[in-house]
Amino acid sequence: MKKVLSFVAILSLLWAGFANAHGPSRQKVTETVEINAAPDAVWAVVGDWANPQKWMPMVESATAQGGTDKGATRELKLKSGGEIKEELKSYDAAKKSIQYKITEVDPKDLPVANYSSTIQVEATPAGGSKVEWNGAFYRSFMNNNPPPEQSDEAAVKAVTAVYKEGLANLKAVVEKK
Amino acid sequence: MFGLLSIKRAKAVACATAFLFSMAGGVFAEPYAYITNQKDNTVSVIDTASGSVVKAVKVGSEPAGVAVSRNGARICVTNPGSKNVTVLDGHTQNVIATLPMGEGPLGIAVDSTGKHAYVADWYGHYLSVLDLDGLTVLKRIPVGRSPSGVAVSPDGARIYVSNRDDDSVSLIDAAALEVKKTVKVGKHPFGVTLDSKGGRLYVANVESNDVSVLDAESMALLKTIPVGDRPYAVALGAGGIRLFVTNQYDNTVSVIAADRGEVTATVPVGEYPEGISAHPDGKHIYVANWFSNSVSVINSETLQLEKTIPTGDGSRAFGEFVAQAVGANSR
Repeated sequence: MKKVLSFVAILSLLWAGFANAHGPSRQKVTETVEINAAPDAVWAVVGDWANPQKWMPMVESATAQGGTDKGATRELKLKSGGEIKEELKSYDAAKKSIQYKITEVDPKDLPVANYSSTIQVEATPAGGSKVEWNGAFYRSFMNNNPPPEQSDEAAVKAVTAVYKEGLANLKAVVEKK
Repeated sequence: MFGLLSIKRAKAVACATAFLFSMAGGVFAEPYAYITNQKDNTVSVIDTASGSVVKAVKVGSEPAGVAVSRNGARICVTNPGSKNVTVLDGHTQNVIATLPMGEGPLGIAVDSTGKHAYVADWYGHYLSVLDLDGLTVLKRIPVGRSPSGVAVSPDGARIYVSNRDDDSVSLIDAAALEVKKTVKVGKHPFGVTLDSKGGRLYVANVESNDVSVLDAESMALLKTIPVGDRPYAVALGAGGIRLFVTNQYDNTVSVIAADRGEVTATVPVGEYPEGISAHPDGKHIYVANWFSNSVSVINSETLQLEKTIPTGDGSRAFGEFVAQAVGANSR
């Protein structure tokens, strides 16, 4: 037990020292959903940077600063008890597009590093909306030969699950209105 | 009438150039561009004359870095996923060899003679010297932490490598095969390139969002130029008067006037642009778009986006991926 503890301590030290390091190959995920509602109605929910808890099932609450300016921040309190800090890269209400990045995350909450993401709402010919959510990120483990829970596959799997659940819930929330 | 005459003249020049190219022996009139596709483990071979992919070659796992010998006879691709380097024949576009290469081969450059390739090892923190005739590793030169971009001076005497996690660039003496000097640049330097005379070194700094300009001999830092968000790699175009920088997070290319060291234009390209390389015609810049799975072709004079070529999944093309100078003595 003692050995395990010291190993964990060393790991967390390494983590602190090399928080900006990452593997050589970035990963990507794209998920889409079609929603039976006008783009404006979808954007009113998904474009509300300060209130992601309205549609992201994993989020309990959020505190945001800086409005929708580039560099604005938000802190997500997760239902699991964890925390994720994010920063707005660009916000375009006319194009219904939002770009942001994660500035702080614990690998146990989401095993990623240098994560950046875009959410885009588009009109469909039928009068509904299509939402595309894409993300680009590295795995959280910064050295060679990662443990399975911090591998490229684990990172892709975790982000894919967040996107699928998030978009399904967004559809449910908007279509209920 | 005057216009017609100049077209005729242009055609005559083109014919003469093509003749010279064919005289050089084993040289291609239209160079190919080689695009590594990280997510489908292939290299897309683009015929730059037609602007389309003519072949997809299966290589190792998660191919990233690429280097083409100056006359296009040899292409080297790094595969960090399978920890090896794939060597392709530029005539047949077939795989000649797959060589085990350290722990995380990433950046790669070939010298002007085509005899040596230099491979940065992300995890091993060294530069491997690969003999392209014997297909063996001659030496591992210890450098800084997480070395990434590599460039070689035109005379082959000096090798440069960016040490990403040390925020530095090392100058290596190619004869002695050892580090001569290491200097600090911006935060997380990645792509590097030299001008055609080997006088200036340009380094893209991913985390400080700028480009460091160094005197390539003294390694003195001459200037730091702010560019877009998360710059990745750099290439000189338009006869060396313009520097082009891919900005991963902005989906753009910054255009810098090389003499003034200032950004003069920003060209929108695909999503997450990574590798960038100049065409030897001096008129075109090729950009690999990692998220969009495509290559953008920019006219380096008008700065217009001329074409977008669909490639494979996760196009990176980190390195000089188009054959450059062509001559009887180059390989």
